[in-house]
Amino acid sequence: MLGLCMRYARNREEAEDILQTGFVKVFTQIDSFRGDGPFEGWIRRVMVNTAIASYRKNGRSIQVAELSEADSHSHDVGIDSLDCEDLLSIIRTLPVGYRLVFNMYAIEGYSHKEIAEALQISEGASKSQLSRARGWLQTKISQITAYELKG
Amino acid sequence: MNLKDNEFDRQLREKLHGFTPDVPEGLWGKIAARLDVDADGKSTFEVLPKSKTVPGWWLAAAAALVILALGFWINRPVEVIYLQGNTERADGQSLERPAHIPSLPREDSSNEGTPLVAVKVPDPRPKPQRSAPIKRASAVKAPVSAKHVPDRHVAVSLRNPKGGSVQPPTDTLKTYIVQVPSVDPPVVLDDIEEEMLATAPPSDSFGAGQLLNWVVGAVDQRAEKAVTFASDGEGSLRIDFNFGLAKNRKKK
Repeated sequence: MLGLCMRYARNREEAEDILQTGFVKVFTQIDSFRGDGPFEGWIRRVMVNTAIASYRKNGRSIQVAELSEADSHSHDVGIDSLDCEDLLSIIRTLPVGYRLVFNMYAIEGYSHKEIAEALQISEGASKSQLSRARGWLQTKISQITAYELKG
Repeated sequence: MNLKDNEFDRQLREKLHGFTPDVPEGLWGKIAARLDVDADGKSTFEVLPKSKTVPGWWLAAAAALVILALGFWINRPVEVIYLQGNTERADGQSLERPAHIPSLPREDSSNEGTPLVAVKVPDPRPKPQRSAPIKRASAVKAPVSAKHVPDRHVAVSLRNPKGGSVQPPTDTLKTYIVQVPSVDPPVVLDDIEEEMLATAPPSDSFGAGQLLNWVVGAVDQRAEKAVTFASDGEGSLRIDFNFGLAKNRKKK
């Protein structure tokens, strides 16, 4: 679960804080687990909601400025050549709104409707931010892998 | 969304799903500490306030205290009133008359054993005229000072009921004229009012029994009470215990 929190947080300390708050909610609101799905999935959902609440609590806006269009989506970005720590570092560089949408859709498997309700944005904004975040990540990963290949 | 996007998402998901960073030591301790604080109801969770109910034994103790206080108050020592005159106690000893009470002159020894009847001689002075009828005697609250009331001189002659009057001692008639304090009531009532007062039914005595029954009823909500109080005509308090009720309670 700490890995999940690190994808949503800007740094490790913030990730640990989200983890603590999330587990407190898990222990105290365990009665709300209805058992209609895996328990781990319920805990992951609690952690994601805690991360979103943490951003709202700190007064950060989830709506962010436009990312510049990624220039290329066509080539293989070479994810396999990067380890998890490097991928996490790249994801953390995303602006908050993009990072949340990308994590929720691409990693956790939420639908755009669920993301729109959770982040109180429109589905169109969710799709747009996902597309821009994905393109931006692909570009960044390509740049890093190309740099490592050269070196 | 094209296939390349799906493939990119899948690769990232597989890579990051298996990522399990080391959890720092003490993290679970911090979570446990926050859970302890939350369990105390001071931070995250709202704890319903405890209902303020008075324990039953407190009510019983308060009721017993009230009953004891009332019992002491009812049986409080009463001021002893000494009767004037020479009396004899059951053991034959004579009680001494206090020094401030003057003694009447004793009769002649020749008339000893003959009952005497005191006859009031009409007061020669004119009666005071009443200015206006007074309706209620309770309206007068200020005590009448004795020094403002003039003493009345009452002449008493002794008469033998068998015939003939008893001759006073040879000294003088002054011996039989004594000064007595005025016994006139502070308010002069009409004959009708005096009769109404005399024939009025006695008022109810202090309802200590009723008060105690009310206290017991407040504590014991059952229809049949374990203790009941009653006041008789003489003002004594009677306590009745329902032992059958206590036995039934033990059986339950």
